[in-house]
Amino acid sequence: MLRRGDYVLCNFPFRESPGPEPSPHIVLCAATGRQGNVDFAIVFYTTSQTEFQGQRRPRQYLLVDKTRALQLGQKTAFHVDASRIARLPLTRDYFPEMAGNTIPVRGNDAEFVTRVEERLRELVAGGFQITKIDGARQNKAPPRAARCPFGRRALVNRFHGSCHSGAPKRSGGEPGIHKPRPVVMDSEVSASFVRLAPE
Amino acid sequence: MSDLIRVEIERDVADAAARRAAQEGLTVAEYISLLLRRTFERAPGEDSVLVYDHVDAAGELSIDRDPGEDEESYRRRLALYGNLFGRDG
Repeated sequence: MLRRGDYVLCNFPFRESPGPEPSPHIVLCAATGRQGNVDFAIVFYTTSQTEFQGQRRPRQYLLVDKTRALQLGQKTAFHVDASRIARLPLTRDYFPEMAGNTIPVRGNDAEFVTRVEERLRELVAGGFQITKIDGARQNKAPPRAARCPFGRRALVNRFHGSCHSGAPKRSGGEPGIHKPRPVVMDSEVSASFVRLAPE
Repeated sequence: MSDLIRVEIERDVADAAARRAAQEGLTVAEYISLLLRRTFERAPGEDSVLVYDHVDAAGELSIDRDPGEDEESYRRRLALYGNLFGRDG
C-alpha cells in the first residue's frame, strides 16, 4: 500500500487533540509495519516554512528544494521535520485519499528518508528529549481531576494531567479553579519520556 | 455559536498568510490556526522530538523490510522505531 519514501496526504495529528487533524497535509512515509491486527505507517511531518527571519534553519528541518518539490507535485520548497514523527493506522481517518487498499502517492524518495532518520538520531544524541504522545490512549481516557502545584484541585481535560506553573487564574467564576496551560501534557505521558538506547 | 473570533493583524502578515494558504489549498483561517497549533505544541525553547503514536494494539511490533534491504540497515531501522513506538520504550 505505502512504501518507504512515499509522499502522501495525511491528517497528521496534533499534540493536544485526539484523533487525526482536520486538514490534510503532505507527510513522508518512513516505514510501514504491523502490530497485533493493526497495519500502520510511520511518517514524518513536513512544513512549508522555509524562512526563519535571519536565524539559522533549525537543525530538525531538512530542506526539499523547489526543483525537487515540483517533482513531488508541490508548488514550493518545503522542509521535512525530523522532530515530528507519527505512527498512524492505515485508515481513511488518517490518510483521507485512501481508497480500498490504495493511497495516491505524490512522489517517492527513499534515500531522503535515510537522511531524515540520521538527523533524528543526531537530534537525540545531541540532547533532544523524546516526548511520546499516546494518541491511542487520548482517544479513550475519561476526564479526570488532578492536583495542581498551587494546592488546589484543577479541573483538567483528558489530555492534561497537570496545570501551568504560572500565577493561578480564575476561570468561569469558579473559585479556586484554573485551566491548565494547553502545552502541558498528560503527567503519565510525561513520565514516559524515554531516551533512545544506543544501537 | 461560532468557534471563530476576529483578530486584527498587520496587513503584510495577513497577505503573506493568504499567499501561503492558497499554495496549500487552505483558507487563511485554517492556515493560521494550523500554524499556531503547531507552534503551541512546544514550549518556548523546548528541544524535543514529538513522537505521536495513534496505534492501539498489543503484541510485537514488526516493521516491513524494504526490497533488497540488507540486514544491518533493517536492524538499525527496527531498533530506531522499536525504541520510539515499542510499548516498552
